[in-house]
Amino acid sequence: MSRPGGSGHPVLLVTRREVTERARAKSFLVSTGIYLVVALASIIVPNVVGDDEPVHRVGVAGAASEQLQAAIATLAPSVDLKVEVRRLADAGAAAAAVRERTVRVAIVDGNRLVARSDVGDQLGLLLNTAAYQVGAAARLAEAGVSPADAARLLSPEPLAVDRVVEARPLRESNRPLAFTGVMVICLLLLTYGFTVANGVLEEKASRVSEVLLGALRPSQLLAGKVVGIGVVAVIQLLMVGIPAVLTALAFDSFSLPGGTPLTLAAVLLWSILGYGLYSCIFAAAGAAASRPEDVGNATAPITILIAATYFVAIAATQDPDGAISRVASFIPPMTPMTMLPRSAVGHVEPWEVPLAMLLVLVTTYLTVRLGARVYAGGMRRPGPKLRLREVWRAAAG
Amino acid sequence: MLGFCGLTKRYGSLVALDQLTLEVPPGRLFGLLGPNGAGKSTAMKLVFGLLRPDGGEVRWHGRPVSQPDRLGFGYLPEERGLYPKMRVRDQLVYFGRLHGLSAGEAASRGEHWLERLGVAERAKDRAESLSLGNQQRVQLAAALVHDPQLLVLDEPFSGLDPVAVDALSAVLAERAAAGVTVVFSSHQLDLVEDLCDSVAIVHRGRLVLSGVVRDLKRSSGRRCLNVVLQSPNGAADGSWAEGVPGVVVEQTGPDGTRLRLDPSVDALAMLQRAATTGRVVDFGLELPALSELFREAVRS
Repeated sequence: MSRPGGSGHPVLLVTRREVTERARAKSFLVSTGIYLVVALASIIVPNVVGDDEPVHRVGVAGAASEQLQAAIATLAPSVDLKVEVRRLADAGAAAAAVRERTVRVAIVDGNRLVARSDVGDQLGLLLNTAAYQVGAAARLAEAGVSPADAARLLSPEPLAVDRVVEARPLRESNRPLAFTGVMVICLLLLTYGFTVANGVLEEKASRVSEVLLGALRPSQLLAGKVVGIGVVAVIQLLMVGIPAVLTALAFDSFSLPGGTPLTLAAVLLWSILGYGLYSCIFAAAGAAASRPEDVGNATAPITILIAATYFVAIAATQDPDGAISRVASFIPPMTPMTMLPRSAVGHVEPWEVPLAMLLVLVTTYLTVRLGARVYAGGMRRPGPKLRLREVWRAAAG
Repeated sequence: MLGFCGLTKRYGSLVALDQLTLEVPPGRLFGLLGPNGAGKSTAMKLVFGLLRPDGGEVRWHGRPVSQPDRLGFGYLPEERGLYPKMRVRDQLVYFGRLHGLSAGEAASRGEHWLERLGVAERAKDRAESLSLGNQQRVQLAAALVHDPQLLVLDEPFSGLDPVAVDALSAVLAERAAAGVTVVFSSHQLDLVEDLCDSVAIVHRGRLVLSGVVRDLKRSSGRRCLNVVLQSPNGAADGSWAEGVPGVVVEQTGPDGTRLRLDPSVDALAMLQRAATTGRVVDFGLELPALSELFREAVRS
């Protein structure tokens, strides 16, 4: 004779089955392996291949070459350029080097620029300033000005700035992590959303649901499945994330900015809240379908919404304090992806994140209620693909 | 005691069940019969809350069925439901635990039923790798693993070989003898006749006949008379019985003549009539088969 309640909560039993069966499935191991390879490759390859930032090779020939080399080296960091200066024998050698692309551009005698085509605004400004300083220093020396006075005259103090509003610089150092976080949340919502939809359809199509729903309420089966697949998602996130972070640290790919722990916590928080918000809608879509081919159609509106949010969120990493970012971060389906770059890179008032979380939680409650009802109706009506109205009625009776 | 009390279920304009009222006593094998689309599967799904009735209710021991009650029920759905990629033993443990067993208990009972039903050697295999017949046995084991008080089986014999049919018949008889209420549907009426104590015949959602099989056969008043004649003048073809009011020649041939007799016909008089046309080598009087009662009930 059965002993009701003797083996633990039914939701936990469903969750446990989801975790154990999915974690030992080949597809899980293969996809984890692929994600890991992609993550590690994106860290290791740039380190092995080299820096992405281009180095501009500049030649100097003829008079004042030594002074020009020094002036260019001094000025380059101020315009954020990497420049390598090469001494060339004469004007002919400079022209040949430019033609053969040994150097991009060459300064001859401190007053002539040899180039294949355009020099580029920043590089041109740098070289002109260097040539001006060297030329001016020479003329000042001719006029009897000491080198120290000449240097003082040619390096004036920068303009003092009076700020009329409080300076709030963006936290640029958090941007790469916020960008990656948005991608992770988007990938997670799509991957595991479809896992939920397909898992629900599998139970419906194989009629296991009829056996299960004899012992469980639809809401228990739904909760167990959503939580179980969510746990698998977190396991996969950690299986990929931990080796990726350790590898990045080993390669010294990035020095962790001060906001890293908070940003990582935000990625985890918004991943969980986003999954909670979307998973029940994916489950409802799976329950309304009857064949795997139907899942794509049933989930299309959700997929489009997630994709659109992704583009808004990527834009928000560039302009986190802009009006679009601010508005999108308070539209609950968009909040998980757009609030992350706002809080990590831009500026949020203390009340903004709690309010956004509250809105997401309230919306999640509504989608769980709605999704559970559609799910129950869909699971009770095996057979051809159902229209939303039919599912709704089936849920009612 | 399982009770269907005025159950009505509609799918749009289609009435699947129409005021179905029926009681299934404990400790008996009960056959729920009917042609395709009669409403048998719908009635079974209503027991498990897979559908909600438009009228009436299902009762268990006099009370409306509750979710805790269902933990003590076992169900074999019409279309089998197993996780294709899950190992057979793991599925039984899972289903057992959902019905309240501990993991160890579910595992040992699962092994017991796999052994009883002849699929113990496939315990570690995935369900999708089993033949349909063996999947059917596993599904039955899943319905039995938690030792249910009520067993509801929708076409449990379909797809089974004769050995498995015998094994399942023995299991069901044993469960009924232990006091379990067993309801099953089947189109194999000879099997149902051999196995069931009581039946109910449903047609177009309505109950058209129900009761103890033996009583139903007797109360029909109809009998079948089989006569084997040896006659030199060729009267053994059954023509001797033609034209008698209330008598229908159902079958005639080298094995004899089979007559269906209305309640008003005297069987002994028919036998004497046969004896006037030849030597009666063999004869027998039978009550109608369940299949005949079924056809009659559905036709009427």
